[in-house]
Amino acid sequence: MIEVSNFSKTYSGSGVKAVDNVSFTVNSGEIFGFLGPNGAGKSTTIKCMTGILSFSEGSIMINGADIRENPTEAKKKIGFVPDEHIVYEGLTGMQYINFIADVFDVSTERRKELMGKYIPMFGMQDKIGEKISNYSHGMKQKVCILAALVHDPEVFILDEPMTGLDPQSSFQLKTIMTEFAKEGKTVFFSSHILEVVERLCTRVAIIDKGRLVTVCDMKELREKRSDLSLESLFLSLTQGNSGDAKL
Amino acid sequence: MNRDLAILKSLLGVLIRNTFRIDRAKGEGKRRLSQASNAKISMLIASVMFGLFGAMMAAMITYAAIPMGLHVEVLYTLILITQVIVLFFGAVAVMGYLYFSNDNALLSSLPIKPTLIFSAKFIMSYLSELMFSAFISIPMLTAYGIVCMVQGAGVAWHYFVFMLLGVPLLPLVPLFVITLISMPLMRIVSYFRRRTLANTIVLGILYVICMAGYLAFVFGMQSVTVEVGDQTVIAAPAVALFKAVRKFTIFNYNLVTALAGQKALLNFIIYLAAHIALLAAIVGLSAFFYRKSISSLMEGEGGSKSAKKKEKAEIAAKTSFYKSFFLKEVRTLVNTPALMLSTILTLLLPPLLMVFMAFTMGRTMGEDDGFNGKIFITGYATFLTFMLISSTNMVSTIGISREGKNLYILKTLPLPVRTIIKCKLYFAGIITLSSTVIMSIMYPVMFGITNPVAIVMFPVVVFSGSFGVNALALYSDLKKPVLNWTNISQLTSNNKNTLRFMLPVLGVGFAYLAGGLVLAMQTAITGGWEYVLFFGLAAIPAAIILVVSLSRLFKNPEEMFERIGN
Repeated sequence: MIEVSNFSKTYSGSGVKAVDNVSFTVNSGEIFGFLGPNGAGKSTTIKCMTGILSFSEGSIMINGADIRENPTEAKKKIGFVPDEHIVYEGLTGMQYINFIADVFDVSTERRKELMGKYIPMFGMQDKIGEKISNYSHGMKQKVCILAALVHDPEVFILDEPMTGLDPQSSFQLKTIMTEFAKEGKTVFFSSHILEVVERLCTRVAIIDKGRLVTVCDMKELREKRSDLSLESLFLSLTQGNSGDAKL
Repeated sequence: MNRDLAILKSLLGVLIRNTFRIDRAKGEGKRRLSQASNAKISMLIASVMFGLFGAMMAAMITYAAIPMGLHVEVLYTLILITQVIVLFFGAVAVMGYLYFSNDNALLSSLPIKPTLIFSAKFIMSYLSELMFSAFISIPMLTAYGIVCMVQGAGVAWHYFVFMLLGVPLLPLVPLFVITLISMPLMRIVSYFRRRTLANTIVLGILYVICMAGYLAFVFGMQSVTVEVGDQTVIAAPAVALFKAVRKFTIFNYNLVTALAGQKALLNFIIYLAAHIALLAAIVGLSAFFYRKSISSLMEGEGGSKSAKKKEKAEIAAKTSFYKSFFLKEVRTLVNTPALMLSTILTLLLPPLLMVFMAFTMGRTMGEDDGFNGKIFITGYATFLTFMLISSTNMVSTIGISREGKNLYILKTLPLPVRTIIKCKLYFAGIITLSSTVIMSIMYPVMFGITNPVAIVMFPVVVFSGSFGVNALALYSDLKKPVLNWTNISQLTSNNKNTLRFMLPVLGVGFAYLAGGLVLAMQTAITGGWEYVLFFGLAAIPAAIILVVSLSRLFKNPEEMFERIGN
């Protein structure tokens, strides 16, 4: 479960408020989509949720652990796939995964079991022993996903996870996300591919200019406003014309 | 605790593997070995030279200090020299490891305590400075020990044991200083809008302070030894300086006392314990500072409305490609502290060493004592200037590599490859030229050289040779650039390109030095003709380097550029 309460993030120096008083809750067993135009504050929110950036207003709880007060405990629950491939390029894919597994204290048996399942899913069996610097964009993305999965996280946070993935891997990732939700875990991801979000998510939040403009239930959207696609809703809410977008 | 140690071990292993790129990839082994061997040979030669110079200086000063009972003060000074050099050269690398690594975002998202991340990165900084520090300190301290033993100045065999135990501890104090200064500094820097520029400025100020200290030291050391009758003794200003160093570096007391053989083991243990305590205190402090500093530095630079307006105006103003590319190069340089500081170093290191030369040897060498000191100094100055300007110009040695992954963007642009290469070469040339101009003014002024041939030919030889090396460096980098780096400090401090050129540059430089020495010792050619001969000969290798490297660089840059990433 992720609980974001009255969260604001102001960049030091410039005084620009990148995220302004945002609150939402992502329940266990839910796949939650996080949408917004470029520069809306999505990545800033995710970076604060994962402890990369600090913030002074509001709180973010990850399965009961406060990311600000108890960052190590909170981070132990998170599997994070960043939008940039921040990986050690001098290592092989396997060395990198092992490092993350060490950090999360994953036993040898468990990592063998999990990677035995996930590495073939992403078609990385033949490449996982090669150096990351030789990987393509998509392969680096797969390594980031595998590293996030190696400790079987309770909360799976993904920032633009489909970027660069081939259709096969994209399908596998969506399967994993669905499985996670079925197991009662929390899946939170940002994306610009609205079709994927529409099909996969239980609920969706839309952020624009640092403010949360709506949190909508996808089932409710489909039932009450069958005329309104997620794309129409997104466009109307982020272009300042929200009159027609109410559920 | 055990869990923390396990994480620290794992993190350190990854950082070491990633930094030194230890891999067992098949097929690459042979090529890597030969490259590593070249680099090692060059490094070895440079280190032996540097070590010999340091050992000679230490032996000379120790020899003069013993009769005056000042040898303990000299020992304090030799230790301080090592620590100051680590402080001076290590600042950029330490800042790079601690604050400007691309892996900071990754590590921040993992459940690793900030103190553990800090500790791992501090150890990495320490390892990178340890070898450097050992190359400086071991020859000097060994020479000191031998002279003291021969002269019966109270040094026994166990001096060398404690010296070897003490050397690994020497880089720690300067690293503590850099770390302590950087903790509040990075918090301050993060409040500036132009964070990278602010950081460069702050680091630049630190450098100026270090240099001011260095100059004060050099001025204090001027004419360290003087002849009194038939005995060489230490001059009064240097005596005062040595005594001041002893007082100022009281933190080295236990090591010096251990080396002097007074309750050696106990004093060494106290010295070691003090370092461990200091390290623990700094790691403890990092719990408060490090996490916040890293987080602030990763926030990006934000921007005000006025800044955005200015940016819009720049976009509207069309400009030529050359100007635009040059501006991009300058901005990259200014906004990359490691690169900016290495450029400052290119501009300031040669003059600083020339000042040192002038005060240590320049004043005692004339033309009327059977040894033509002026032409020897000319040879020495040409060697020093050529060597330093050539080998420290990172703008050319990592001209292509510093683009990183952006190079692939450059490849997509509809620009002639030659134009890109020319821009990069000219930009490096501007820095080389600036440094040459400074040195060309200092050389006649500091050594009282009035010969017109020397005044005109010194900049010609130095610039053409150094610019040639710039072209050669760029050629080599274009041939095999390193684009997958995580930290530009790594690129600047572990650059094989620099090492690769050290050997030919040293070879030519030594030829200048030897030429000056030979001409100084002979008496047949005088009356200014020695300068004509020296620079006439010196111009030949410089011209060869220039012509060969330019022709290699521009023979087929398109093909090399095309090969990058394929």
